[in-house]
Amino acid sequence: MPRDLHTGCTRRSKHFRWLSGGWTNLLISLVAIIIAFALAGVLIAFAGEDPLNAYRTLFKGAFGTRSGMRGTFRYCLPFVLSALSFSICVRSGYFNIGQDGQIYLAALAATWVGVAWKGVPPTVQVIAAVVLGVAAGALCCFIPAVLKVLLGVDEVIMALMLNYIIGLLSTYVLLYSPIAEKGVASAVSKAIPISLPSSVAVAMIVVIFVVYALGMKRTVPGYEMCIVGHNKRFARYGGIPANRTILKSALIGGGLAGLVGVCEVLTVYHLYFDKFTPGLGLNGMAAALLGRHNPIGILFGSLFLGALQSGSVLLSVITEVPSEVIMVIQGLVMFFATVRRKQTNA
Amino acid sequence: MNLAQLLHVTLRVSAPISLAALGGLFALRVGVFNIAIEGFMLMGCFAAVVGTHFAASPYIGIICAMLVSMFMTLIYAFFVLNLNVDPIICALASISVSTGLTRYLLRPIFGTSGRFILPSDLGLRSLNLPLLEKIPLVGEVLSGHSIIVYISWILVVVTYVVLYKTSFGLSIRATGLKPEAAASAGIPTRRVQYIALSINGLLCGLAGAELALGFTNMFNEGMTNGRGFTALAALILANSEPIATFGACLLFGLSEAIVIALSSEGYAIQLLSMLPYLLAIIVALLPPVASRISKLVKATPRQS
Repeated sequence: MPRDLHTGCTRRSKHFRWLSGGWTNLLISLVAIIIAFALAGVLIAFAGEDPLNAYRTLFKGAFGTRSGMRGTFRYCLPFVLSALSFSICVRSGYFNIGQDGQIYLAALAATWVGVAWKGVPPTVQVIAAVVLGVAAGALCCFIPAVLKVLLGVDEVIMALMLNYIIGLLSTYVLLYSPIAEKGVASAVSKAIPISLPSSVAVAMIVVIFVVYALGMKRTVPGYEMCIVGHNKRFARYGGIPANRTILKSALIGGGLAGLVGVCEVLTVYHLYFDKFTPGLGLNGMAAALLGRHNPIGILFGSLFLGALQSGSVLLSVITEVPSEVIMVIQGLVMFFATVRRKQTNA
Repeated sequence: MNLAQLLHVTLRVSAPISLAALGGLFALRVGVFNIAIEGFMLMGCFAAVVGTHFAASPYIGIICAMLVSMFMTLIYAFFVLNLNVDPIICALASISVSTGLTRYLLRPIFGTSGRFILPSDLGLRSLNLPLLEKIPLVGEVLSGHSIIVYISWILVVVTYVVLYKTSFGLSIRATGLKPEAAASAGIPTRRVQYIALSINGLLCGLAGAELALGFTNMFNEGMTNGRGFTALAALILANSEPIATFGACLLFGLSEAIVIALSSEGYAIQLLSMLPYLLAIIVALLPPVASRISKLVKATPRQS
């Protein structure tokens, strides 16, 4: 099935030159956001609240207070990572929508290292937790990629099924395994004694972001991924090992998603509770689409979605609007963000 | 749970999956790989409960479910066909909107969050088949389902007939195989795609209605739980042939029924619940593995 995934390398495609400028992309993303807000406004009115007032509250919740700002920043970072995880795979033509599973598996691995390893120097333990978590995420992304490359199995179904299986697995582990906190009603792990300092986590994300931004534009692997995503046969003809490139990007993408999971449990929560952040994967994907896979675009897309996430807390406290409205907004944004006029023959 | 009960439950739980799969089949046959059926089904569940609640009749609920689901599908179709959004992205957006919308609307409409349970007299009654129910085992298995289950069996045959015995079915298949060729033969491909996707929406709405009204009589957030995705796995396994798809859906129904049977005996529900998803993975792997093996088998004599 031919898929045109907006690989971000299609800039020079003659089919939509009218859309080639960064400004047009920005305009489309802004219009997408405005339409999404307008439609969600109808919903808010249906709930008997004033949409404008609700949006004012949302904005205030995201940027108005110190804790709101911190929340925006806190959500923005994992969204960036998860958006990069989606983007890098899409670039080489591999549709990675298994972020949720990858995040949960990585969090599980990190929690296991943090809780079950005893008598290890904390620094070593933290490093081991990060490495194992990232490896778990990468593995989880690698399996559908291998199946796709070797057998031509559709990666979308695989990833979705893996998401469900890993979700059930982590609920099971959090209820019955040695790392589970016994004597509580909900599925939650024991408190993790080690911690990844937030400064280190932020520094890691910044480095990854810069490496990604430069690497995609200026390095050979980045170029190869672009070409493979754009036209696999042409890439092979040009001597690029297409399958290996796909697997490589799947490993990196899965690893990035894994890092999200690791940071969530080691930096933010210091324990693993079941389904801790639903929608991290979807939000990342929406951010990537809003930003059209452009690094700066991804940054702003994540900031927008992070602000929504952070502002929804105040929204549900002050007004009667259920906070699920942000999920609708995020979905609507995804609908409108990639609208185009003319189809390319990918 | 004895065998007859197990098979009875199998038939009951495979009905929503098979309805969704038939819906997905129409979409797939016009060239849209529609993973959004998960979201359409969820909207169907919700609309069914809303309709039943306000009209005090499950049949109005079913109609509501079908209409709402079709409306969602038409929006999806517009974005995919006219605005050229990638079907998968559009589907994920649909699922996101459906999940968010159903959770959101629970509050203003019913004043609850998480779930809404209908009064038990508003559910769909189970119908007994007049002659069949007299036969021992067979009657126990086949009879006593809700009306949608029977409709789903009829629809399998109807789908087969429509697809292979009517000119409209030919248009659908032609559009899916080669839209350009179909268009040059005078088939209005865009219209055929829209009609096929509307049928997809109607069937998914019916699937949702069965899920919400057929047995549980309630709406629960995220109650479709990946059934739309397993329906697609069934489609892949059956190469989107109606009858074979129904068989594959029965397989998923059986796995779900086994989960229900075993979970009442104290096994960990989380591990058991993985069964349908593992099955879906295996099922999606089978066709490519089989074709690979058959290629190998064909290739060996030539080498020797």
